[in-house]
Amino acid sequence: MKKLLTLLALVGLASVATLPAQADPQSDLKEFQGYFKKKFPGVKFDEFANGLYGLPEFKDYRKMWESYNEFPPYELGMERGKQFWNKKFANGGSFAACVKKGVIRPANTYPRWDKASKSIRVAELDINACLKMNGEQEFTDLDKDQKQRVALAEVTAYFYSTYMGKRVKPDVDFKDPDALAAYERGKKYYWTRRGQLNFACNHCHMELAGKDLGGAQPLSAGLGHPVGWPAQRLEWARLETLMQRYATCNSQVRAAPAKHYSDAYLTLQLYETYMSSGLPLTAPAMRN
Amino acid sequence: MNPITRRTFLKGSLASGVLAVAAGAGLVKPTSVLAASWPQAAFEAKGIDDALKALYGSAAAAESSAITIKAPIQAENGAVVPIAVSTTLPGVESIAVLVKENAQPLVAAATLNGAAGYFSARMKMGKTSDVKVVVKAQGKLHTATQQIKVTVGGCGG
Amino acid sequence: MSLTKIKTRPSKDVAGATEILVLVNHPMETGQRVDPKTKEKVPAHWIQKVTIELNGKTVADVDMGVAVSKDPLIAVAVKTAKNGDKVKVSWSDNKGEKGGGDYVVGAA
Repeated sequence: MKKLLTLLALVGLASVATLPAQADPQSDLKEFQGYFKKKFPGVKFDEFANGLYGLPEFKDYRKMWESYNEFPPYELGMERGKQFWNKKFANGGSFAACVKKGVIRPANTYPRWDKASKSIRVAELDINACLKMNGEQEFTDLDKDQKQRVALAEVTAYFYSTYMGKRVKPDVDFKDPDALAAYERGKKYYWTRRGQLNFACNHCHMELAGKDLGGAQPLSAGLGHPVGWPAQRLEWARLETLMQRYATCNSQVRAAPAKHYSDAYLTLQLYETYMSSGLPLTAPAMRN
Repeated sequence: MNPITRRTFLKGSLASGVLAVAAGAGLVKPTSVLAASWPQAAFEAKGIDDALKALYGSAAAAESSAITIKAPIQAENGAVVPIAVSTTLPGVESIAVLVKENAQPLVAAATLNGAAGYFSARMKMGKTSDVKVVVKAQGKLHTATQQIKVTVGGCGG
Repeated sequence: MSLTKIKTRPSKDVAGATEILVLVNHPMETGQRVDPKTKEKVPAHWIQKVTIELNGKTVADVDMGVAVSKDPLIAVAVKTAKNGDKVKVSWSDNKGEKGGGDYVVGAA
């Protein structure tokens, strides 16, 4: 705890990265990715897709991560996800048909801005939509029902695995003022201090990226965050949604977590993913 | 928690010779029955020496440089610590992995009968500890040890 | 229904051997974890034995305790294994539950 307080003080004093002033996503992107290229000069761009395991400070953790990858535990969850994905619905429909019809879009294009509903769509939402329009039971109560949430994470993980390596390019038309406003809300969330520990996302995942707090909390870089999700954390022993990770991260700084698909998390996922534009998808992955 | 299983009962009747006769008649495969009982005493032993005595009949093991342990020096998370043991000792019969600081040190024991001197697993560790590996080869016990650091806490949620 | 997954690949540690990796979906409860809902300790439930056979002959018998991680992974290496050889894995736990799977060495 002492070490944590020292680092907290450091963060309070340092004013390294500041909230980018202009409302221009493309410039934000250049600045965000440039920050990490400067901070980690020896790291190849694609390596950021591996989360903290791509950072030089965590070479030892990477060795163990590579041994997990030889037979990752999430293969069990993915197997279940694959079986669920391949099962035809009672009405003869299927997830494959939903993909063909464009109800579910390519994984690397999420989050996407849906003009008709003026909302952000993540893969899980479109997977649920496919189930609903085919008369099947949707996944519900995700904040409280771990079984449902993990089942959704497993089928989403399988879906993502079929796009492994494809470069992230969120399908968002920033000329649409509602889409731009949503992006701005996500960006603001990222840079706003919250919780008893009064941290913003940029503190841990930009300034302190590469540091190991107290020897038990290695901090990943913001660049590359979402491309490994749905992911399996070592201590969770199960695949989980990215929004579940946002909720636990909020709790870690003693802030009240938001709900799955709340505006807070949808816009945050949009901002984070846009900031990782160009990185290859690695989902599902082992993450800390 | 441990009802008498058919296998335990059968093991008990070994002394009476019933099983030996059945095995001779080809009715029971010796390897599958003799290997069938789980070494409860070894897994419940509270110290490394007691676990080894229960498992191998002795805790006397010679340090050996012919055993390689591949495990992290600092585990990222104590819930899933990977460890791989390989040895060039000839005639390997068994490999056991023990974590000194665990309440019950014996994690796993692999009886090898045709497989090479190699065993790998992922284990739980509650705190920093020496991990002791014991290899039984040609009737003798050999050992190697490595410390694995586990930090509990931090911001993990 | 508990999944058992099996993989084989050339061993990186034993020259000329084939590594057989087994991953089993199992809670491996130690008996010490408290269920956050019931506030009671979840009873111990763990795989006790994993048997690995190659072409019908047992090559390895692994005894394990509660300290093996959830969704246990274990691996052994066999020098005499060739592509096409049949691998059979069977496991049993302290509750008498069983599982297992089959695999062909060198399968994709």
